[in-house]
Amino acid sequence: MGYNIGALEYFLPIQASDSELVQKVVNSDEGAFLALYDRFAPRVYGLTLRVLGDSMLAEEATQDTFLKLWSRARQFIPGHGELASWLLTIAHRTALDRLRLEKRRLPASNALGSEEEWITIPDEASTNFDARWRSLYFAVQALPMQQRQVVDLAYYKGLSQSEISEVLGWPLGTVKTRLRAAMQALRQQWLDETVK
Amino acid sequence: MLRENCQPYQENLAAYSLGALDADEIIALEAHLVTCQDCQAELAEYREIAAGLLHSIPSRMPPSSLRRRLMTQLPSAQRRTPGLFARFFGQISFGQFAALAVMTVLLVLNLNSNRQLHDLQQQQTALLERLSTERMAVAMLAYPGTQALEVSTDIQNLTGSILVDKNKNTAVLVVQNLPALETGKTYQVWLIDAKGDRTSGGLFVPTERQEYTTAAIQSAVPIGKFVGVGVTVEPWGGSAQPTGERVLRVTW
Repeated sequence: MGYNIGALEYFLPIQASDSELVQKVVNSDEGAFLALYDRFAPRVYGLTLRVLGDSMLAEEATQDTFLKLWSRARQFIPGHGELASWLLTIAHRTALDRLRLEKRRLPASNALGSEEEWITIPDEASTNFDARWRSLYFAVQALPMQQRQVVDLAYYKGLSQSEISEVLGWPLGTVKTRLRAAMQALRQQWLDETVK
Repeated sequence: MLRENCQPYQENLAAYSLGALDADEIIALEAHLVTCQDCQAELAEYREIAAGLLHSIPSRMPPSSLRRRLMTQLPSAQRRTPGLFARFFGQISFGQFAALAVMTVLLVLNLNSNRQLHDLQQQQTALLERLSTERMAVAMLAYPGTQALEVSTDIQNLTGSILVDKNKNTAVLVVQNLPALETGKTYQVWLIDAKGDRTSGGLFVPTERQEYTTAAIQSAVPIGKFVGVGVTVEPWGGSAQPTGERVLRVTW
């Protein structure tokens, strides 16, 4: 799946940085706003789809995320992190809020969702996918399935450890042990990549 | 190497970075983190992982219809298509719509007036913010952990509630019959901790031509870390600490 550059980006300097575009959005520049949409919508939509598991809800969450960018652009401080991280954090919270509103319950047999969600490999050639995140993606895939399950339910479905214990029917201690083991493995992988 | 007394907290660092702790565990861990730099450092590493988990999800191209829908909600589209505008701002009164229509006419007649254009865009941004706050209130009403706490006040006819989930970093204040402000003033929300210290939770002004006002309260930590909320009248732009008349208060 290719990454389509929106038509409006042709009318903006190709090298326009995220910070430059956000500053234009602060000044209500709709062209800059749509350029940011074209730049980040695939990642935002991918994340909201991952959380919500429903394309219509994901579209609404993606729309809400970018409307928050429009109204809160002034709150983004370039020196405090990347715009992508800020935007994905908003998308994550927006999607989780919507998930709770929908009161979705995950049957234990479907707790991990479709394996396809993890099989679609990010295409490094067609997206601006940083190698770090690609490496982390594969590290998550390499986790034992039960560890992947608890990470998925905790972070992408917003459940607490006690809620995960209830959903999966596992003892709370088992949930905690597996979540901790998963994150320790990812942390070690992350630290090893940093050293390289 | 971490000290021995870190062990019960160290075990929860990863889950905390993912937002997967229960409320009592969060309170205990955050109290420990205040003084433990080793745990702070380890938490920072887990938070990098958590951030990476957001970035590592494969991109998916949204339907082109989503971009078109988003474009219809931008100010330029609202000026061209009043019908779509009315549907999007479903809670805006006819009076406010009429006021915005009048402003649009002024814009057409004064195309070179940059100051009027800027004011219009600011007000439309404020409307978007208000809609976002009211959507948050609706979402919070569905949370099982949300409490609705009544405000206490000495101001006649002023009533209201705060919607709060103590595990969240945001709350919503809904107030009726909030007095209008003098020029150069604003309402400021204060989050009050157990020691009586105040932390600003945001600024807001009464909603014009509406009986009720909603305000989102933002906190850097879960609201449950505080024992109450107060609202005072402050100079425009807010104050570092409360200086003006207290309007209302909520405690829990």
